[in-house]
Amino acid sequence: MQDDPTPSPDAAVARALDAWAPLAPPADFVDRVLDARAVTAPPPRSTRRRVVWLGGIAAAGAVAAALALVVSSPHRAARGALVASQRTTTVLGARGTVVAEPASELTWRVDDDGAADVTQRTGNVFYRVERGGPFVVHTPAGDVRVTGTCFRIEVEPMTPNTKLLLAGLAGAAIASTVFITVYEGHVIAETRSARTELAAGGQASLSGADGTTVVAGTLATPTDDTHTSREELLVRTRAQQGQLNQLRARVALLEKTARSAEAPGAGDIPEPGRTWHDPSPEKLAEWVADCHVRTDEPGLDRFSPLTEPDKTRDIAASELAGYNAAMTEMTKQWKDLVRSLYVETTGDTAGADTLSSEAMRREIEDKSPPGEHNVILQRVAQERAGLATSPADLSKTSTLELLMRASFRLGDQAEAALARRLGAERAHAIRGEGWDARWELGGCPSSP
Amino acid sequence: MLAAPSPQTDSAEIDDRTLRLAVAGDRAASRALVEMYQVRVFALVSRMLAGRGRATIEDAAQDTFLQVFRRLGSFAPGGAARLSTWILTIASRRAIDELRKQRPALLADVERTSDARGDDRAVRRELIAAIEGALRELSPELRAAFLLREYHGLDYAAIASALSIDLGTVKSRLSRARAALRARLAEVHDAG
Repeated sequence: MQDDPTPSPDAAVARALDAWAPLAPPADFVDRVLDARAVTAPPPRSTRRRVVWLGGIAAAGAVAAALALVVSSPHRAARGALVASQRTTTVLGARGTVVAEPASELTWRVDDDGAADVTQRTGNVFYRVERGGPFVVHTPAGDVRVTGTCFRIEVEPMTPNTKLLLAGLAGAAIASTVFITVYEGHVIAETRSARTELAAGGQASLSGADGTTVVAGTLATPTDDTHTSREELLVRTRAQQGQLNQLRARVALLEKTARSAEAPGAGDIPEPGRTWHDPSPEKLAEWVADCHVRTDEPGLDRFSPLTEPDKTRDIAASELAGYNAAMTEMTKQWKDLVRSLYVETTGDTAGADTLSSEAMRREIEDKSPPGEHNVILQRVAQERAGLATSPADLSKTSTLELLMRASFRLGDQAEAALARRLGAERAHAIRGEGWDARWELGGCPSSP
Repeated sequence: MLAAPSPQTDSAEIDDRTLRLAVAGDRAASRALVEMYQVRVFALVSRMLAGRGRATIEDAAQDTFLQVFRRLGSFAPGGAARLSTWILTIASRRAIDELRKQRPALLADVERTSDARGDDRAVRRELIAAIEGALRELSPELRAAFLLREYHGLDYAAIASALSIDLGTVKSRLSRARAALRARLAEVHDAG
């Protein structure tokens, strides 16, 4: 008698249950919970004089992750210092709570009358300030005087390890730069030469060399701070991190331009005999050290069909229909992809129907684990240099990796779509040195 | 219970001293608590909210622990419920709330989390689809009940009490859900 290959019903059910693997917590989940708990809880009030050293809050046996000296009194006076090597939450006497990201350095003093004086030398720090007198944060680029309750300051030193460089635009030289984002109330940002007031939803960058510059007037997210809970603010903070990344990119662009001006011939000059979008194997090998990836695309987010011949790209009237059809096809494919990844990331189908591809892309990046962007750049740079192979099955990669890899192929795919209509030679000629949107991305996982 | 398929059935509990410190707000103890239960919370919430996107699942899991900390002082160690059951109850309710306000599910995330390869992956996808199909027949509360029973080992009485559902309803509806699952799996097998 032959064995019956049909599994028993209960065995089949057990097998099905076993197949359904759950999601694992992200590596930083515990820290996120503890930070959220710290920020959403009311700051403790000191009732007696105390001196507390906080250290080694990471895993047992690890080197101290953060050091903070806090001195407080029965009244409101307190002073302290913090050097964070991992995300660290601490209270500034009775005046508030800060969440400091790794590499942040702070010192603070709160006087008996409640006046708070904070110096943030570097890093990315979220502040929640309680009422009780003047509150000033000194940064390398200027001071931030607080009349509200919730804001973030990022001190970005000028560094050659730029995370994101957008090529081809003009700018001015920059020293160190400070980004400010206000979630509640008002702050006044000032340097020696300029001053600006920011309301909830406002963002600004300060440069000690150039004076105060309001880089972006408002955040995309509407802010009604009157009834906003701390928990909601925390969520909003995460969402707005993407917008801060954009500001960083703009500053990086200015840095890049400044460096290019100092060193003519570096960066964007095409190699002899090669187009901008087709770097040599030697160049690709060189870029591995910086996890550098160059890519271009036709500006699909802003595409609108041409109505007349384009002299810049030398597109003739007879080619308009083919060009428009190719770009329309690419635009739809790109939007469909970004939309599906956005829905997969956020579950927000309603938002996907109203947001631009750029906004959805930003949110996908923002929702991804910190540092993943750079890990992907490193991997792609190695693959392009022939030092690693591309994954055979992209279905197991993260949403962000799918998005980035797809974006890196847009230039070639657009050329291919055009070639199907106008022929390979014309498509190549129209792409020329590169499509309109040209990106230089860099920054390895270990970059500061 | 049909199977004990994953490590999330782990019955380890945090010790009383750590629990007391966590109630008092001690960061290290709070960390230990989240580390102890996060995998189980993710296991439940990610299956409850399958297809809703990682961000939604992570937010629900984080909210679960924030609620846990807010209410930890009211938990009675040595009482009828174990801490893990108490936390999973909070997680269930948070996920149920999410299900009520969210849109229809996608299968994409489930597919992503699978470790299977090649043909195996297609089979696995069908098995998961069968479970999802069976769960779709259930209300959010009974979906939670099914998962708590099959993946987390809770008994019927604990589930009924935790989710405020009638014990008889739990038994009858879970039995029906299993029958539906068996039928769907038989279809998968026949199709193969």
